Amino acid sequence: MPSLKAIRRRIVSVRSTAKITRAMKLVATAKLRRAQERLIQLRPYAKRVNNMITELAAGTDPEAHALLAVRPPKRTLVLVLTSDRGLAGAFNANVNKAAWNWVKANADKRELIELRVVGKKGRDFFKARQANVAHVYTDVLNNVTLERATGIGRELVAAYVDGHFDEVFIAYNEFKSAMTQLVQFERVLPLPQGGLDDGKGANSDEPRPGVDTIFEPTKDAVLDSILPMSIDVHVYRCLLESVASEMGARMTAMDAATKNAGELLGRITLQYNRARQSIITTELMEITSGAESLKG
Amino acid sequence: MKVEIVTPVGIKYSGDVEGVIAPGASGDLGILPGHQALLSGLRTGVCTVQLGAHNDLPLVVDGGYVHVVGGQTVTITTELCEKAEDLVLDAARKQLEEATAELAQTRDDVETELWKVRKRAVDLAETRVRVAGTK
Repeated sequence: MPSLKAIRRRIVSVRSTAKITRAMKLVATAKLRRAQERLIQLRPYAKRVNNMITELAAGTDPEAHALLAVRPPKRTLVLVLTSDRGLAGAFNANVNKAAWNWVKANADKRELIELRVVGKKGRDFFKARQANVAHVYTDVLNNVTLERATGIGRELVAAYVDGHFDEVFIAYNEFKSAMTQLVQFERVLPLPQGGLDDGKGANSDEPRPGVDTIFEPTKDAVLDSILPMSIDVHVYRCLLESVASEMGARMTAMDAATKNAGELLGRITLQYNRARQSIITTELMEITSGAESLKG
Repeated sequence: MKVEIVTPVGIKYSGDVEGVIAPGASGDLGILPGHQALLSGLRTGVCTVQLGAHNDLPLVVDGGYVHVVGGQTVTITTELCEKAEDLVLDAARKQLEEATAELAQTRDDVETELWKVRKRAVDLAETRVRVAGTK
């Protein structure tokens, strides 16, 4: 049995760990609420952009625009969205694993698979596996802005239009609820028919477009500006989904950790009291037996 | 006619109106009920929502698109939309001065990209002053 002092030290340490996990849970809860709000605010916008794309794409020959044309996939770019910080349950591990499994499964079918990674957790994961990581963005998820998303989006579009890559995928955690995050592995370029996922599933309830729509200044000019813009919005949404997922995962993980610490604390306290009790009993026995022997 | 102005931070305006004047990429667009289906880019400028006789709501929009479907639904998607009450006239004026000064130092022929960015900043500040002045 460990000494009283050792048990006491253990109690103090568990108690302070519980304090930290509880604080982290509260912080994650607050951040989750904010991230969720931003995500909800963005959804109508993403949906409208998608509606415009569907209308445009419906009357366009896919071969007519570089971002719509499907080429035989030889060179592939995968963007993986992870966080900079850990202690968020399986948040990073899930998305990293999904991307890595895809890369391993398709390595012999492609000439080249290049990774671009958002977040230090993804960077470390792929570095350990010596994957082909071309670029790492850090410090993104703790402050997601449309500008930052646009920057990343434009780089994806540029690499694709240059002909460096024939397809672009994005791997991220989709936010379902604080308890559930769903790893998504989606093709963003060439743009899928029917537009990008806008986070609310189908967009079929909108009025169907007529064929005699006027485009200003010209249809091509509208296409040229709106298609890259839709990629930016999609990247932005994926980043916000990731933030909300990260916070949700952290909240759940820290809640479990706090609960476990409480349980552990109960057990050690019991052990401590038992040890204390047994010392008292031993002392009492010593005293009584001492008194007994004096009598004799 | 139903008008919706949607930004990445939420739906900024939604309601039944008599008409809209949107700053189209190739000139202002007056949109009334029954307008033909349209999809146009927008420039930075004032978007006027006509609520009724002599009751106009001017808004700042910074680029984006206007989408008319079925002659009765107008959707404006833009990255930035501000109402007069979101703005402070003095701050907008100051911003315009700074932006104009910066633009004056940029040469259109050599720093084209930078010039475009700064020109847009001037346009935005100008629009803000105009909208803020209607308060």
